[in-house]
Formats: sequence, structure tokens, C-alpha cells
Amino acid sequence: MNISTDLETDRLLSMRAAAHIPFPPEISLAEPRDSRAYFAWMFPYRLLGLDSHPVVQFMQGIGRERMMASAVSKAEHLDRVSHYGSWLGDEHVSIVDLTHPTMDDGEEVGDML
Amino acid sequence: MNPRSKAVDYIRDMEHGIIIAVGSGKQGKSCSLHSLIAMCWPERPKYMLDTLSYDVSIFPGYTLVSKTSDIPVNAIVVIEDVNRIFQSRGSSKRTDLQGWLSIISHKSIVVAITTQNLADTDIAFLRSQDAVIMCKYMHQEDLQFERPEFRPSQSSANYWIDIANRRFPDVDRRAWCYFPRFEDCVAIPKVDWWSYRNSHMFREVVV
Repeated sequence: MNISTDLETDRLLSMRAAAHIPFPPEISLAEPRDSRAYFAWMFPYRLLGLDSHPVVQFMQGIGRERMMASAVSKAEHLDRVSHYGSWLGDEHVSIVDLTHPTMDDGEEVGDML
Repeated sequence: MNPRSKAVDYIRDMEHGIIIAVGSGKQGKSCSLHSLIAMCWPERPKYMLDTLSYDVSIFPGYTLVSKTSDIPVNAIVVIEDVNRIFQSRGSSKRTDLQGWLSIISHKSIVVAITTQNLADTDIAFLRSQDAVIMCKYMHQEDLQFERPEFRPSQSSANYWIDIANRRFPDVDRRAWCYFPRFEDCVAIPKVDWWSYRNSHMFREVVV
């Protein structure tokens, strides 16, 4: 994936890196008006604490894919989308401590966040 | 079971190439680089390439050379703070660096450099051979002046080094290195001879 950057994405990336808080997809990907269109339906499920339900997660995945396709088609949005893509890649980062040779193999840390 | 790192395994198998340790000052670049070299290539001849004269005996097994022509086949060459020797964008004015880097694959030479910012580093180091970047922590202020091409990966490095530091609080923060190509965050054990003198090798040098 080619990654380009600009001041706005740098600011977002630095903010995220400093805060260690993953942005929700509606902030990372969507413009505010698009966010309502793609993610507003989640609100009642969140309110009921059902946002981690597999069906809701599945629907959210579809919404994110549609959002991504929409965002990629807008040139001014490409930088932020590619950054978000690189963050998604971060789920495959492994942390390996070679200073303690008895540690288990490098573990995937996607679930540590 | 011994932990395995994709990045370290790859580097161990490198016959030639370039390893770039980048990060802000006093984040453990040199220490991790020399430790990595000791771990991956204990038998290969090791050289320090520098135009300054200093006591290289504090680096056991290393030989100080001032010219690339003095570096033999199959060697590991370390250039500390590379922009002192090869200035940023210098290869556009001098062709010797490009000429040397283009044949290190023939000579089976690994060039290992430390730098505080890739913006201060001649891009020829990244263009010609298999270059593996080893990110150490970089302060946010320094990050703003990093080359745009490398800013996202360096930002990821800061992020994952922070995560790793929280996950393993008993490991020295400066041991953590992030290899963007392999998406690997690795704590490299410090080589046993490393001391305060090694990390301040230029203290007595007059510049």
C-alpha cells in the first residue's frame, strides 16, 4: 500500500499515537455528513450495549466497506484512508522480547488494545 | 521455546544490505545496532567507518577505517551518525557513495548506519540495496521534520514501542526496535560489553 501524507493526517496520526486511542471508523474514514449516513444506525445498538454482537459487528463491517469505497472515490480523502489502512495492518504487528529467552513465540497483539 | 523475530531472522540471513537505525538521540540506536550485529553475525569481520579518530578498543572486535577501499569482502561496516560522514543529499554532488553502495552486493558487505532523522540522511542509502529500517523512538518534535515518506512508519514505531513498553515494563524501553517492513517490534538484548563509554564515544572528539 502506498502511503502519502499531509498536515491534517500527520496531526491525526500524531494525536492517535500520543493518545493510544484507536479512532472509531466514522472518525477515521468518514466526513461528518457521511458518518451519519453510514454509522447512525449503530446508535440504538450501542445504547443497548449490543454493539459487540456478531450480527451487529457483521453489519458494521459492511457499513465500513461501503464507507471505505465511498471515501476512496474522493481524492481529498485518500490520505486519511491510506493511513487508516496502515493502521489496520498494525493488527499484524508482533511484539517479541528477545531479552527474555523463555518467552512464548511472538504474540499477535491485536487483542491487546 | 525461544522467541523468534521475523526481522532478526531475515537480518541474520542477509549476506549484504543496509541496516538503518533511526530515532531521536539517546534512544538506544547504537546499542541496539551493535547488539543486533553481535547476535546475527558473531563471526564476520566488523569495521567502523569514520573520518574522526577515536578509541575503537571499547568496541571489541571492531577495526577503525577511514576509507571505503579499506573494507574487505564479507565485512560488517558501522557508520555512527552517518550524516557526519555522508551529508544529506551529498550523493548528488559526490558519486563515491553511490559507487560504493552499488557494489556492496558484490563484496557481500553489510552497511549498518545510525541516524537521528532520515531527513538528515542521504537517500542513496535507501535506493541501491536491500535496506532494512530499524526504528527507535522518535520525539514528536523530531517526527515533524522526518521525510514524509517515512513519517507514518516512524509514528507507528513510536506507537508500538509505547505498547511494548507497557506490555513488558521490566524491559528497558530503549531495547525496543520496530521494523516497519516486518511489522515486528523487538526487544534486542544488550551486548555484554556495552557501557556508558560506548554510547558516548565522541565525547572527547574535537569537532
